[in-house]
Amino acid sequence: MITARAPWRLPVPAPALLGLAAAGAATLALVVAAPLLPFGDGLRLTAPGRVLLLASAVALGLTIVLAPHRVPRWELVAAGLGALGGQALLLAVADPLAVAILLVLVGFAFATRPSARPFSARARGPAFAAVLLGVGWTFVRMPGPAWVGRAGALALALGLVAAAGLVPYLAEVDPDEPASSSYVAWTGFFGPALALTLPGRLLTSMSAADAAVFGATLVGLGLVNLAWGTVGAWRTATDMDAWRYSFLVDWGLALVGIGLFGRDGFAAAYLAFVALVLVRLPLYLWARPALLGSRPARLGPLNVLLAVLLAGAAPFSGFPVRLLVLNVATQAAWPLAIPLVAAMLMGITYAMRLARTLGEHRGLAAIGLWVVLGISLVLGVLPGVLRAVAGL
Amino acid sequence: MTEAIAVAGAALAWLGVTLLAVAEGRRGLALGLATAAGGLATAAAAAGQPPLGVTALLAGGLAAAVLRLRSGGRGWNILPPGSTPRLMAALVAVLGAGLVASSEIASPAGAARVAGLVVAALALARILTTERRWAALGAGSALALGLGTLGGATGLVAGAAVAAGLGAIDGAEAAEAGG
Amino acid sequence: MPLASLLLPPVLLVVAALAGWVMGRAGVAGGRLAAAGGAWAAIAVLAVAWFATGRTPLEQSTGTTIAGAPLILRFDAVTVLFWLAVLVPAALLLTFQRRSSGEAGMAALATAAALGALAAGSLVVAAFGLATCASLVLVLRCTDELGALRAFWPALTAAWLLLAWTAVLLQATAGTSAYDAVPVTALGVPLLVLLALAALLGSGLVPWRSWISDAWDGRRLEAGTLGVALLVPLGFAPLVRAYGMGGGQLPSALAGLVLAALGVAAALGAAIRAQAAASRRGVLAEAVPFAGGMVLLALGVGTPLGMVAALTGLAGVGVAAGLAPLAADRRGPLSAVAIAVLAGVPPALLFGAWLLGLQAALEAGELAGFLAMAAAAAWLLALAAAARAARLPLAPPDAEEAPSRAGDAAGVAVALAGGVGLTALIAALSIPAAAEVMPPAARAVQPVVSAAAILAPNTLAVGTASGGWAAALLGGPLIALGLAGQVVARALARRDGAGERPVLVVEPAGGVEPLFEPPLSGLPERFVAALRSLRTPEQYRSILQPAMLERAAASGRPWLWIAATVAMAIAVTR
Repeated sequence: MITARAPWRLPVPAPALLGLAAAGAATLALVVAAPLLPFGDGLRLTAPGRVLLLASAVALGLTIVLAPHRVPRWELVAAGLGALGGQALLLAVADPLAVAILLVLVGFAFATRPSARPFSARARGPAFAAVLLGVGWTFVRMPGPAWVGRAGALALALGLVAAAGLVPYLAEVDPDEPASSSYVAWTGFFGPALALTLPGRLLTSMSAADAAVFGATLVGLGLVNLAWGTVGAWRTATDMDAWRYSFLVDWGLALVGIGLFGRDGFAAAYLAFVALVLVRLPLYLWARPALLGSRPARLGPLNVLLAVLLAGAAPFSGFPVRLLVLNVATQAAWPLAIPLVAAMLMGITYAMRLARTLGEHRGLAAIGLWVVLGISLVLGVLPGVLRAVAGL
Repeated sequence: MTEAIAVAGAALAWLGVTLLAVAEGRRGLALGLATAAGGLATAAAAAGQPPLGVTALLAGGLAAAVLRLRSGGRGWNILPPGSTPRLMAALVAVLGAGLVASSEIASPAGAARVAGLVVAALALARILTTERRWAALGAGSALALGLGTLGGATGLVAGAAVAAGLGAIDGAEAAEAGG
Repeated sequence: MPLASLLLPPVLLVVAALAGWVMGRAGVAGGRLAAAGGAWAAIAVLAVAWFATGRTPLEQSTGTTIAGAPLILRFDAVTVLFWLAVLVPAALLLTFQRRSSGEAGMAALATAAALGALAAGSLVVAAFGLATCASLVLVLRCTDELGALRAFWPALTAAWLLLAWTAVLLQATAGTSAYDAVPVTALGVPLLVLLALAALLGSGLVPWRSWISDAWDGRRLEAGTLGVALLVPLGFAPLVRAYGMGGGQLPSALAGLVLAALGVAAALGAAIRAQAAASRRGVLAEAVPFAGGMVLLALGVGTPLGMVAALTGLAGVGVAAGLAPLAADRRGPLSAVAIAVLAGVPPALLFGAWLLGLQAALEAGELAGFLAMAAAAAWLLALAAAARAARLPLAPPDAEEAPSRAGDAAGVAVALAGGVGLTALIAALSIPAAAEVMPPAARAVQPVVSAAAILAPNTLAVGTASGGWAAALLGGPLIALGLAGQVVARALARRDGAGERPVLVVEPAGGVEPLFEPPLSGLPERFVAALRSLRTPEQYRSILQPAMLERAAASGRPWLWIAATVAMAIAVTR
């Protein structure tokens, strides 16, 4: 059994985990209760942020209870609460500079999770992102020549990309590292929180020219990540890397949606992030046993259904995202839709590969897979409900 | 007068973060962090930032410096062999700031801003190049202080809190066992 | 007509699927019965809901959304015809093909999805429905063999993506993709190109071997052939609706001719492949592509008669999709009749529909007339292929043969009934459906599609400008004679032999030489193989190493981050 492996690292002290859980829970409670508190002005959870937070909590609960793990579940609960608290903070803090500073704390705190990679290496990504965001925010609000504002807008866009660990700021990957300590936490958990709420807060303080640079950078990097993720997931040598690149594909679509501005663009990104947290991230966790070689990969009817889901086809969660992104891209400039359609078509090249790694599960793990499938179905058929809840 | 104080604070901040970057001992790092905090607080105060925020920034930086004395390389170990590139980077940073932002430095707010940017950049450089946990944590605290200086009261307080929070994280290298 | 009664057919199938799943979990082998029963019940409900309630079209904007788009359903004569074109073969296949309970349930679900997609009132909903149905068919097929990935999945994915893109473009230009609300001039030639591409890929109507023929390559026929029955009509639906969106015509006459030419090319390709097939399964695999090509020819002609012929041909496509798998893996007179029917021998439905299509093309003008002659040549080739099939082995050596005499008989009966009752089919279904998509122009009194221009006054015969023929009066006696002959032959055989005489069946050795080898044989495979073999030239490999670039980018090296950041900063701030 996957949990019966020889211990791969030293056990984490219980007081540290308790402290982490307590801090996370307290932060979460503070954020949720902020409107009722006298000093809660600096904490404002937007409607999409609330939905993402709830989705993250559901995903955490689902994966802790049902997914196969090497790490003890009580440790995952503690780490999960801590992560949820960090995410809540990133979602709720209204001041972008404060978000950048808090990113340093979250990044370094996360880097203390057990891993074979050195602490300093794991702290680099969040630190780099924090500096980009901080510098960018300063530049766009600083009086000066036009290039300063443009550089600031560029830095802000790059900061979002760096926080999520996307191209060109891909983080080093240790295949043996548990998901709760790896890059996936940034790409699939903290990154969406930043990308969902920060652009709205940033754009209100940018001039039109700076906003254009911000949007164009996001669109450009979105297309780059879409292409890199699509080709990479198809051609890369290992299934582990294929999964990593599949996250880039979802991010690529989301970045294009955000960068093109507009209600439908933000809605596309919002739906993409909710699906990333609720669907792709849990599926990655279910694939880990096969990726680590402790369980054989296979292709059964459920796997084929999951392949359809991972390819972004109807009736699952990827379809409305693709439809909305095509919509905004076509309205902005119809040729932009051509690479998008090409990338969407190429999604089938790696979907079956990823689905195979989900293997065959029994008992609770199998139930969990069906639950994720059901969630994706609901997201695919009824995204309007989700949009209405978020006011998009 | 305030311009001179702000510039002095900026210079002190630069000195502090340079010391942090070239120190391989916990005392050197702590001194660098404390100096940077002092410099940033001075520049921020001269720039007219809220006193509460400035005080918080200073307190946070000093707390982080004290907490960093718990772990790390022994003694001061300032400018050990191999630290020349870091020193050169710090000199380039100050030259670059002088060239690019000379007009900015003329005003107290600009000087504080430049100080924060230089501290943040050099702290980031330290994080990107070091392999040591305690050094990365120290640089992280400096990064938080530098970024905090770029903002208003919220930024100052957040920077202070994060700097102190990072100081609380144990800097001893965890024994990573193989599988 | 209440919306509930319109939704009943797909709901019945979903209920059947659930019942089959429950029975499968309980170890009761009743899933196939439930699925088949659901399909036949759906046909009955459809007939009652449409014909008994006045045949009033209904467009319903449900007020909800699906996949974020407004859920608009449309139920008119076109929908009814398409539903029948899907339900009849599906019912036949679900009844007479062997399936486990799980497979039957999934098949019923896929059929329900197809019905839902055909009831779409907008292109967005149609794209959603097509993608959903294709996904379910893929699950069905992949449980059998992974060959479905080769051509099927890419083609259908491209089809629904192109359809979604067309819908999005229509929304951008016209504000909506609802069939009834799109302005007549909104669907221009570029959008029609995308729509047509989606239709051709979705229906597998290309001159080379497509996913339809690939569906016959597996050991078992069940999953692939059901997919053909469901998806080929789905692919045609948006193209038919395009006429309605354009006020009864395509945006360009040339575009219609190109479509017609593509249809002839598809039919010709199918006929050529059929005459070179190595087994009977190979011949039968080309039945639907050929029928589809003839439908596309009629559709592209663009005249009212052409539309009626196309819609009648679509019913024929359904019959072909249902009959061909059931006629596979058998020998005997019934199987021979089935192959003849599929090749367009009178008096079956396919014969009538194709003849009508040729007439429409001949009447349409010079270019279309040439296309009609090419289509006639393809038809002759298909007949030759059918004749050759009698001497071919039934199936490839590794195939799992599953003959069904009852299914064969049922399919033939449906095809012959459709042929004899052709004029009734045209009057009751095809003409009303054609009138839906070819409405009269504003203030015009005369309808564009009129029964008088197509049927004789007594509606027992086809009566067009290029000539008429009586389907019922010619076909009926022919069938009666055939049946009588069969009865007499059986009676004589029983009188001659008191007991059963063992019949020695000798499989033909080596098959029969084809008339000629298909010129495009293996072209897609060679093209794909050529793409796969593309490599960086030897002298540049040391410079361009994508794997090295990937390793460098994914290694998390800060210098790369800084370099990328600085480069972008310079680009932005210049």
